[in-house]
Amino acid sequence: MNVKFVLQRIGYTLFMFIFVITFNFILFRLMPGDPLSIVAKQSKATPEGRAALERLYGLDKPVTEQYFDYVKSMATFDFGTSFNYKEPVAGIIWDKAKNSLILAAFSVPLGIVLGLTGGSMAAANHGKLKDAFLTSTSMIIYAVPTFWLAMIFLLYFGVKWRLVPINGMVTAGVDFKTWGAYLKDLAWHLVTPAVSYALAIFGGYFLIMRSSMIDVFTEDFVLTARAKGLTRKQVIRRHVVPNALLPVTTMVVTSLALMFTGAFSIEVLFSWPGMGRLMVDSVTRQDYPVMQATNYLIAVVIILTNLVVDLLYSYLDPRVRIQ
Amino acid sequence: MNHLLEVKDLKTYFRIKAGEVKAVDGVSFTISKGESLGLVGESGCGKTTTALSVIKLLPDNGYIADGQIIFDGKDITHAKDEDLYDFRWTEMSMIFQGAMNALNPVQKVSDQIMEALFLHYPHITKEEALAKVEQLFELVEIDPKLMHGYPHEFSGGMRQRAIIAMALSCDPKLVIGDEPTTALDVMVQAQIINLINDLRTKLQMSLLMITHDLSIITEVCDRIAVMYAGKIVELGSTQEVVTHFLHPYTEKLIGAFPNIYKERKMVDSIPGDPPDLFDPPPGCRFAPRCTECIQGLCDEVEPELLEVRPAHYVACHRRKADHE
Repeated sequence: MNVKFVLQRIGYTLFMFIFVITFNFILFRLMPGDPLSIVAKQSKATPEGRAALERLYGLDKPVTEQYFDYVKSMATFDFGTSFNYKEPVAGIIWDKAKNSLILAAFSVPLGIVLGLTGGSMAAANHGKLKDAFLTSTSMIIYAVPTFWLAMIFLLYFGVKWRLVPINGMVTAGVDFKTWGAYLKDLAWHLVTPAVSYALAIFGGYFLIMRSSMIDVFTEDFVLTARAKGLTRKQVIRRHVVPNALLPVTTMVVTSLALMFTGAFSIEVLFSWPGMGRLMVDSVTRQDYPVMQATNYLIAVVIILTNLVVDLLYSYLDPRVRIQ
Repeated sequence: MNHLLEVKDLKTYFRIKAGEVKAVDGVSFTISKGESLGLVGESGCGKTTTALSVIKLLPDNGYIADGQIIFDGKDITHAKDEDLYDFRWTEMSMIFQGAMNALNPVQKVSDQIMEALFLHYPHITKEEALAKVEQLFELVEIDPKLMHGYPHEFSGGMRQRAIIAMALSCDPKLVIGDEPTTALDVMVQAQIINLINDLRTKLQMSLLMITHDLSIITEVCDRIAVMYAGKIVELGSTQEVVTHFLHPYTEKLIGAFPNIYKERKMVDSIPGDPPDLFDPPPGCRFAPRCTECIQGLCDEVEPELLEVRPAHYVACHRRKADHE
């Protein structure tokens, strides 16, 4: 791979980092509400107490100094102390991200693989009954809002039929004797949110893969491949799929990266203690340090993902390499 | 008979929502071993459909409604895909338009040629295949060092040469060229034509050349078939057709070709449009645009393709009358 290309991409990534940190810094200073007023309200602070708090959080310093402090702490992953949990933010995020990752690990790859195989099956049978059936089914799944689908699952499987637990990662208040018992309970809690999450992802991948493959089928090199004497399966596997996957790559890498940041609606509905729920809670509770940190981490994930996608693209598609 | 390819009364139709389009409607021709036939006509006259019918690569909604295609003694008219995997590329291959995406953009050119070799010669080793690709690159006059490049790294002319190399990789008996020089500039066009001519004499291959460009046919082909609206209207040796053209459409087609040695003027165009192949008119299909149309005959009775001069066939009532 071209060294200049890689360096250029890395330079671009660094620039994006600076931009995001600056943007984050300004954004939270423009938001309505003021962190001190929350803390001050709780402790009924006097003006002197307020000044002390300002000094404690460094809000009395000039803005430029605040900015450089901010850049330094972002670079060292020092996100301060949560107003709500009274614990270092980094530790909280690590715990929640782990939980999000457990949920995502069982749903995101499943949704992607089902979507891509389903989409290519439909495209390979374009215009036939199988295609019509698969496509209309996934259109419906795609169109249904995730939170609604999740609520229906909760209502029927959880409440009416009592097949699965309705909230949390494990049964609350149980002291698990063995790892096996713990994992069994976890798996039990995992089924419904994981299936809802996978379905939420499935539809988009199905439709993109299908249309991408149908596009490639009309390309001249597909006719060349057929003329060479390749079977239909060989043509699809060697020529159609590798080309059809190019536009899907960005989506796959982004989805995989966002496994860490959690799924808002699923985590909130199923009371899954992950990053998505943490973010929603931090907004409703005006927990500024957590808000800032999660925002920043999502940006970091997206930026790094873009770098990976760019480098991956140049590997998959030789036409990207020369610019 | 010494015919390598024999097409008899071929009718290829396309199913569309409104009904059927008769893209090719009763076309007959033969190609002998080592011979080259040029199929010429304007866009939409059915020349590419004829080629795709012969190599059995019609799109899903196209089908052969009637007629016969006999290749090397075998009737392949209704052969199924499964029966054709071994036949394709080793017996008959196709030179596609290189300017278009005829090469897979994400695969090395060498890999794309070797794919055909591995497919048809399962026992060939990687070294043998590479040596063959190198040899093919030399044959089409590209530096073999470039064979591991990707299609986008090649110029238009090089891509066309690579496609020719690919078409020749399995030593086919018949090569179909579908507009192989269209969209190349004139200098490169001339190089490619020379290359095709050289290869023809070197490899003794039979060629079916599809083009709308008469000048290419006259340089490459032994015989010409002029197509109009799904039918062959004139057929004969290149020399004969170009100098003693008989059909009014051929005359217009040759007249539409600019001649640099003559006075500079706008080339003649043919007024009107080709007929709708969804519902073709009765009689001669060129009649509505023909300046020599015989009312009551040409627009009612379909003319047959008849031998009016030795080995020179034409489908025209007027010429038949002249001849008699």
